[in-house]
Amino acid sequence: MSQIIIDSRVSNGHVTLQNLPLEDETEVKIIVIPKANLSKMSFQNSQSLTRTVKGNIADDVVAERRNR
Amino acid sequence: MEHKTYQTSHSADLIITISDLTKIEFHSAILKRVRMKEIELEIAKQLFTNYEKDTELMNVVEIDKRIQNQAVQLLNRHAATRNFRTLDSLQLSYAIVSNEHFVIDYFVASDKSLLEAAKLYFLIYNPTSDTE
Repeated sequence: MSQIIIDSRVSNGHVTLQNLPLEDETEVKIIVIPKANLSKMSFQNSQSLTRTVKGNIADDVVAERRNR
Repeated sequence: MEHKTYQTSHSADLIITISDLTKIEFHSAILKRVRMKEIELEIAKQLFTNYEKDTELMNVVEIDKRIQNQAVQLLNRHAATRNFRTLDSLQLSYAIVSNEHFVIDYFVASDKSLLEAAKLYFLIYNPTSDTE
């Protein structure tokens, strides 16, 4: 089975795929995975909102896993 | 399975894959801090909104039978000899099953016990220790 990973961009809810190395009329299944755009993510804002928190919240997640 | 990638991974080509379990763990951790009165509930709600917005740009994997079965196999392999528990097995299982469809370059976590097991399957990265 051939799996092809190709980059594209969503435009008005549509995605165009070009130069696919497959015969015409080949049926395909398409899985769309978004790329992370760090500049659009809210890590800095979340960091700012939790500035007063003591320690590392990730450590709480670890502690809960270990305490179960 | 033949697997072709037409671009190499770099920061502009970053795909973050996380499990749907992460959302539950995140809510639990934040709400614990609300109980401890370190975070106001309104701030927690903003953090949850941020999480939802950010995960729109992530590959969120939902649990299925394959992930559950893989988690049991992982427990059978590791849990008798190391500190490897239910949620460790699930988180690692999501990654192993996802990796069959889309290659994962690094398994990222700050949980050292989880990373110890994960490094048997993936390159690992701990952002809190800044070492691979």
